[in-house]
Order: sequence, then structure tokens, then C-alpha cells
Amino acid sequence: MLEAKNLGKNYGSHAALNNLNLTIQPGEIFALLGQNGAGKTTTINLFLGFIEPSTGTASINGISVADNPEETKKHLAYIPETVMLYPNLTGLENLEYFSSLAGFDYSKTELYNYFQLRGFNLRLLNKGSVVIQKVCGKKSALLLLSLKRPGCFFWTNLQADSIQKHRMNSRKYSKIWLQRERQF
Amino acid sequence: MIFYNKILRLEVKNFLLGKTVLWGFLSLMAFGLYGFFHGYSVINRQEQILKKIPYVQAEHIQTIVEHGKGKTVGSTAYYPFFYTTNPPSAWAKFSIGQRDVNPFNLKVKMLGIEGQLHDSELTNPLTLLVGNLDASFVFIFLFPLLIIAFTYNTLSEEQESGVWKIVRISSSQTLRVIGRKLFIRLAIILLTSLTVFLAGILCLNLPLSLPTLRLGSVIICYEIFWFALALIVISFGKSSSFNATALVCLWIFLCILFPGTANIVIDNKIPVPEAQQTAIKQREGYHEKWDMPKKPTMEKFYAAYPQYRKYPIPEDKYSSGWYYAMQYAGDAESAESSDDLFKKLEQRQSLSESFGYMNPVIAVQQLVNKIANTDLANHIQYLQSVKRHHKSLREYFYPAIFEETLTENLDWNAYPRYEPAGYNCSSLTSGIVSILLWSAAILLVAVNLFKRNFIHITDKQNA
Repeated sequence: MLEAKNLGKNYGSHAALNNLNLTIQPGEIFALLGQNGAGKTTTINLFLGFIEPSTGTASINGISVADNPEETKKHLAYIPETVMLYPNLTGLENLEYFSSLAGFDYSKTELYNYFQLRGFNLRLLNKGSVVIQKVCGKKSALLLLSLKRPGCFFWTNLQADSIQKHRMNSRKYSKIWLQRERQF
Repeated sequence: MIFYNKILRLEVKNFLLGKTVLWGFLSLMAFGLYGFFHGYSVINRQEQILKKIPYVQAEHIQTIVEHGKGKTVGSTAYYPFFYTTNPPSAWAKFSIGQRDVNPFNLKVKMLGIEGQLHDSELTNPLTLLVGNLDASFVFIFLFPLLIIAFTYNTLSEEQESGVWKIVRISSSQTLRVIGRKLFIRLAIILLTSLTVFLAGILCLNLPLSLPTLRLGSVIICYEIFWFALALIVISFGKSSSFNATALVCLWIFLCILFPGTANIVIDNKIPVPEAQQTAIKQREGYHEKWDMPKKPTMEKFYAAYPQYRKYPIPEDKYSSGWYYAMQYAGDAESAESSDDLFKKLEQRQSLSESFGYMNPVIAVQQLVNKIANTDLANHIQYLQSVKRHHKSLREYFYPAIFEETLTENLDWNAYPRYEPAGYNCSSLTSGIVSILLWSAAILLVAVNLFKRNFIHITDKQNA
């Protein structure tokens, strides 16, 4: 569950986000739509713990992000606008690396199976990460981060049908979706 | 544990496959090899010269004795030179230190010593500035650049490319992730320096004994210092270009500006006009004696050598005994300024050591030169041993001079031989401790800055 209470962020005298109140229950999908500068990224960055709120609180499963940034990270996954991986590792090695960082010990076979099951082109996994980034960066990151089994997903500019395709519409997750323009 | 190793392995692979590592390693190795070659050729040339000295000496004495046949020892003893040598230690090839500026052999005559001792340039005896491109140069000045190249973009590059966002979200132990990345870099830096050092041991044929071990440990401490310095810069969480610029500025300050300034301060604070002054005093002290009554000169000599009072010294004509007593008196009159000179050289040494406490680059140079026996202290020791040797030479010839023995009746091969002082390394503790203290203090601050700038959320990060 995601919750924003009177959430606000000021950069100097400029208010990037003003008094946002929001609750997203597990299973709900919430899309943030707006022009540049509307505060979409600021909202997500506040939930991710990348920046500190000026007013109010952002909390994930009842835990305040500003107070426990390391703890709330365990419950969330984030797919940035451009997915960047480690350039000197192959796709599979990147997957191994990031899933291990998240605290999971998947073998290479397990990772292969997981990706195959979700219709991923396995040949790409053994290529350099630059190829993956270009061909299907977000898809790989999405799969990668879902390995973490997070409670909340944040992603940016994702094709609408991707949610269906990648079986991300499970009832367990709260999702925030950030879209610069309508694609529905 | 296996689990942890997987991340470590991938992290190492990602780092090693970067371009900097290979080029950094290769260029350091190349500079290292040139440094070994340079050190070897400088010291080898000195050793070749020192090797010839015994033959030159024997031949020289023989010629002089041939010519002196039929004359008294007092007349012949004026001519011969007696060679003294300061042979390089086995580690001098690693760090030439001041061996290229200070004389490594001195020939002395029976005459006044003071004028002969400072024939060489002594106006700037503490060359704290960049010296030869020898192995120690590679470790002291070039390795920091490698450390900078390996570390400056450790985190900033990932922030700039965007990987860092995924890393931060994936791991809930950011500090550990940072620690791991830095640990890998430190390990590779130390491995590189170990490789270059081992290559040095092989190329320079360094003995596998305590001083070599000390050299290695001092270098490792010094590299940890630079690593800590790099950490504190990257712990501010600034951009790659900021980090690179800041670190290169630090390098220029610590390696060039600070030692240069320290050198000027030392030169101004403790000037050493005494070398010239001593030589002048000795010459004046001796020359004026020609026109003075012989009695007071002889009294000066008798004060140290009363046993020669029994030999008559004619007041109205030249005698060998008087001539050498006159030389002695010249030395005796300049003794005070000679002592002053040595005292000042020691003051310089200790002042530059206190500069070393402020700047580990200076400290490590002093430590390495101390281990290699190529520092000013070693040269001072050598000069003093030459003085002592000169004394024993004089004392060997005095009896024959006063007895007015004929040249052929003296055993010219039995004069006391100069014995080099041998290897001698004073305590390194204070220098090493100062480097370690700096490193520890910097690391402590860096860890806190990492916590502040990378763990706690701030506006600087990825906003």
C-alpha cells in the first residue's frame, strides 16, 4: 500500500509538488499523467527515497520513506525512463548481479527459465548489456525487478499493454505508473 | 558466503573489463621498468667507479713513494690522496635519493680537512623536489595518479549513466554496495603495486631481507593514504569531472607545491653559509700562520698532541712538523663553524621531517630514502666518517714526520684503510605512524560523508 499525506516538495521558492494526498491499495494501478514539470517524477522520487519531502510524508506499507529509506526499498521496484545496466557484463550477468543485490540467490538456470517463461529472447541474455538496453531495456528491467517480488512497482513511460504481457497485473501489487502523455 | 562471492565476482569482472584498468596497469608497468633501468644505471655507474678505486689508490701511493725516495716522509706525505668511499646500499637502485647530488667518494690529503670536505655543492642539500625517475618516483608520484584513475568515478559514473538508480533500489544496504566497489579497487591497486614491486625485486636484485620488506610496507601504507584521499573526494557525491579535477589538484598540491614551498622555507629558515665559511676560515687560519711566529701555532698542536713537544721546531726556518701543525691549527680554528654546519644540516633534516608529518608524500620519500640509505643523514654520516678517517691518517704519519724518517723507511701500505660505515637504518616508526594517522583520520571523515551523501536521502542524489 502506498500512501502520501500532505506530500510536498519545494526547490527554493518553487513548489515542485504541493500537498498531495493519495492512497493506492494492493492490486490498484494508478497512472500519473501530466506535462513536463507537473510533479510526476518528484512524486516518484519521494516514494523511492531519492529526495526528501519538504512537507508531509510518503509511506510504503505504513513505513515512512524519509525515516527508513533502506527498509522501504525492500518493498519496491522501479523502472527508470532509460534502463542502464553494467556495460562490461552480459545481460545474464547483470541479472545475476542485481538479483543478488536484492538478496536472492538465483542460479543461472533459474534465471533462464524465469525469462523464458515470460517470452524473453534468451539469446539476448548472453550478449553484452548494451544490446539488451537498446532492444528491450524496460522489459528486462521489469522482469529483473519482479524477481525481487516487491510490493510496489514504479515505472515510467511503459506501453499500456506491457502490464498484461508481463503478468504484472497481479492483485498483490500497488503500482504507480508515470506517463507523459496518454497512450490508452 | 557463496552468495556474497557471486556479487563480488561480477563486480570485479565489471571493473576489470573497463578500459582504465588495463591501460593504467600497462603504463605503470612501463614506467616501473624504466624506473628500474634508470636506478640501476645510475647506481651501477657509481659501483663501477668505486670498484676501480683500490687499484687507483695502490698505484697512486706507489708512484708517490717512488718519487719521494731519499726525501723525508714530511715532504712526501704532502702529495698522496687517500680515497674514501660511500658505497651504495643494495636498495639505492630502488631509490637514488640524494646520491646523484652528493659525492659518493672523496679523496683527502694529509692537509687541513675542512677545505677538502665541502668541495661539492652543499647549498641545497635537501632536495625535496621531484628527483630522478627511479622506482621510488614511480611509487611515490605515479601510483597516486593510478589510484585517482581507478577511483575517481567509482560511484559518479554509475550515477551519471543511471545504473545507480537500479542499484539503490535493488539493495537495501547501500553502504555495503559502496564498500564492495571500493574494496575491489583497493585490492586491484595493491595487487598492481605488488606486481610492480616484485618486478622491481627481480630487476634490481633486491635482497629478500628486512629492508625490502620495509620498503614494501611503507609503500602499501602510502597507497592506503592516497586511496583514503580519493575516498574522501568521492564521498562528497559530486560529478566525475569534479572528482577528477579535485584529485589532480590535490596531487599537484601534495607532490609539487607543498614540497617546493617546504624547500624554500627550509632554505630560508636554516641557511648554510657555513660550508664556505668553514673552508675560508680553515684557509685563513692556515695561511696566516706562515707569517706568524711558529710557537703559538705549535702550542695549538701540542694541546691535542703533547707527545710531539719533545721534537725541536726551529723558529727561523721551515720544518715538516711545523707545516702539518699549521694545517692542524687551521682545522682547529674552523672547528666551530664546521660543527655549526653539521648542526644545521641536522636541523634541516629534522625540520624536513616535521614537514613530513604534515604531508605523507614528503614522509614517504624520507622513509624510502632512509631505508635505501640515500638521504642527507647518510651523507652527513659519511662526511663525519671521512673526518675521523682523516684524523687517523694524520696520526699514522705524525711520528714519521717528526722523526724525519726517510720515505723508503716507512711502510706506506700500513696506513689505516677507510672502512665504509655499512648499512644503517634509523627508526621508521614516526614516519609510518604519521602516514597511517592521516589515512585513518581521512577514512573516518570519508565514511561519515558517504553515510550523509549516499545513504541518507538528500536533494543532491538523483533528483
